[in-house]
Amino acid sequence: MENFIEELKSIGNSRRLSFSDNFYYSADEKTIMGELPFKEILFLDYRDTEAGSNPREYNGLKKTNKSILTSLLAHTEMFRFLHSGIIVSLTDTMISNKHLIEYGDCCLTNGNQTRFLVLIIILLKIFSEEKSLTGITQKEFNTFLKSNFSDSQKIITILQRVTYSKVYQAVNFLKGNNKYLKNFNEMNLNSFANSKVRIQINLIDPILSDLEEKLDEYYVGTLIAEANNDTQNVRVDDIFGNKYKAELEEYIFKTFINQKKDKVRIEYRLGEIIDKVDKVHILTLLRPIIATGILTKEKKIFEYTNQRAPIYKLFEKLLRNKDKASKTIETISKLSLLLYDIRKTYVEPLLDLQKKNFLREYKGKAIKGDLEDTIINKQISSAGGNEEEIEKIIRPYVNYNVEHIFPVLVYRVRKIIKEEDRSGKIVFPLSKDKTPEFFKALIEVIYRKYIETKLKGLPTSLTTFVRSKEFYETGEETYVALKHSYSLEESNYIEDNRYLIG
Amino acid sequence: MKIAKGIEKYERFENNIEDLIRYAQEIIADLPYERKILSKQKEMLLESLLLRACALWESFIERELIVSINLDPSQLLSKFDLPEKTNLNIRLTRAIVFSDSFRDFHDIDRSMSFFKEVIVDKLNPFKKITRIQKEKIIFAYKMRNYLAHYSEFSRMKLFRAYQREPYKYRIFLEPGKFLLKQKGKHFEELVNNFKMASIQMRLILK
Repeated sequence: MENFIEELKSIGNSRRLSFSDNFYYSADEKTIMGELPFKEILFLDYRDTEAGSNPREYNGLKKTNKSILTSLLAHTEMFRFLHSGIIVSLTDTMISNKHLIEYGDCCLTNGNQTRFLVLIIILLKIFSEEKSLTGITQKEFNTFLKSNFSDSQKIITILQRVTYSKVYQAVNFLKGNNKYLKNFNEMNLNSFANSKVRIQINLIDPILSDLEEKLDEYYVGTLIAEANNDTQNVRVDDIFGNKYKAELEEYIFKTFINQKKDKVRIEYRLGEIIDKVDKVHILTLLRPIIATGILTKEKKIFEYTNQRAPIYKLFEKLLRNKDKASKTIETISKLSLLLYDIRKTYVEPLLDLQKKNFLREYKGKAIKGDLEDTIINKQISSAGGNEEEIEKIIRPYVNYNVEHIFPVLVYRVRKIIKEEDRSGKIVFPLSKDKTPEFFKALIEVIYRKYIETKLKGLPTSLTTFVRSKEFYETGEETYVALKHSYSLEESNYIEDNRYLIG
Repeated sequence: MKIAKGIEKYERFENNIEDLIRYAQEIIADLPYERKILSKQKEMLLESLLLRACALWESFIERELIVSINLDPSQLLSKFDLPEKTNLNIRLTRAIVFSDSFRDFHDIDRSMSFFKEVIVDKLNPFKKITRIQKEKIIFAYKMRNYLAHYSEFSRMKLFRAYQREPYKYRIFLEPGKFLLKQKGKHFEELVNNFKMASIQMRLILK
């Protein structure tokens, strides 16, 4: 086994691809196609390399990946005929014969999911040679990786993506499927590692040399990676985050990054930060900005609730107009920090508490017979006073999505936000001891409306409701009362810094 | 009028219990804008709040007992061999109920059989309390008794309750530790149970 692991490491550390048979090399020297043994693809780079950056991380055992896994286990020999294969971009290539390519940088632009699944199977197979797979613990797995692969930084970087939770999904799958467990147990590691996968290679340097436009390798590689992934079910978040990372860092999240430093890291592609640090996804920071109305007309604020693609499009346009909209961008940069702090300090914890309060309240109402006018009346009656049953019936109606409630809260309080005279910092001008009560009152009203509407029965869908003017108008009276009782003054700060796009 | 007053009484008790739960949950939640509180302190606080909830419950059922009797005192008059036409008010009812011996309401089974003797059946709200609610009240009182006495006997009683369903513990846990488990889930369940029992009792007014 030691020899096998050494062989894998040697392949992983080399910047070479060794083909089993002669490959096809196009006459214009821009394309190579052929077949590679699995062991050759295990540690190919895929992100932030000179050859580009793949927007997609390993997703875990979702539907498609489960099919790939079963295909790998049940039809290893047939795999290359059943799947379209992988695509790779390479820079600084040297081709001495039709079996071997040496390269400078590599980006696995398509087939990253397959690669990780092959890697997980091989790791589990090696692990199971010495220990039982079914009882695998996080500690055991991490020790196994460390003792065998820690001497190679390049390999460790890839292995960091193979978290225990992802590996355990595969183990669980095998435990629950005897047929595939049998395939796995009977599998010969060497022959599996030498099974083939089809590969297409884009040779970046020759491609670049023929382009009229002056582009760099990273740009072209990423362009290919994104185009490869466009046709698949890739998260629009990952494409946007990947493409605009630098600009987002420099403009939109500038204040956030300066303030939070490494305490909270921004995730530009879902799942990319695997360290145990506080992290926030770009969408969490961008969405509440919309609710302030700094970029759109009122109608669009409602429409964009809990959306993804239109929000990215909006920010794409904003970044394209960054010279004209510099004042707005600076304001957004400050707003994203303030709104994030409000969300984390008040909104999320208070919503969590309020959920518990509402569960108790509505359970009581159900027993008292106060939910007779709701759509769950029949279910409640048939529960016959059984508290546990009643709680099960009520829970889905009390559950909430913070992305539905937070924008309405931001919309409601946006005029309170103002710029401090001296520092230029933007603030929510209420003392720290009064702020929790202020948000608590508004959250309760908005959240109650949300539950009551669900309980009454939605005329269309919950999504339509949370994107309605009616929902955004919730809490208006409470807001006015709070504003007066805390002597708060509204400001034109957001309005003065507005740059309308949508 | 009587029904409205009756509902008000239930609501007052339920709100008091709700306040206790909310206060406890805010402490347990480690809210980012509040001062951090050590687990040990949280445990002590939950123990005190449980004692307080029990006290509120006892005071509530004592009042409820007197009011329920007063709505139709015939059963009480018969138990105490008093003339049928005795004209009773709240104070007098209280005096009669507590005249013959010391009464507390720690033992829900014993209390309920006494209530049955003195309240006419159709007005007895205590019979609305469900079996599960009663079991939870019994458990809460085992904990309350241990916290009030720290005696070996009360400890043993509580430990036996821990060992049974739904907890099935093998080791003894100090009440504070138990109540704090799963972000105060046990505390919420036990204390909210008093409120749910009250809500159930209200159904007698329907």
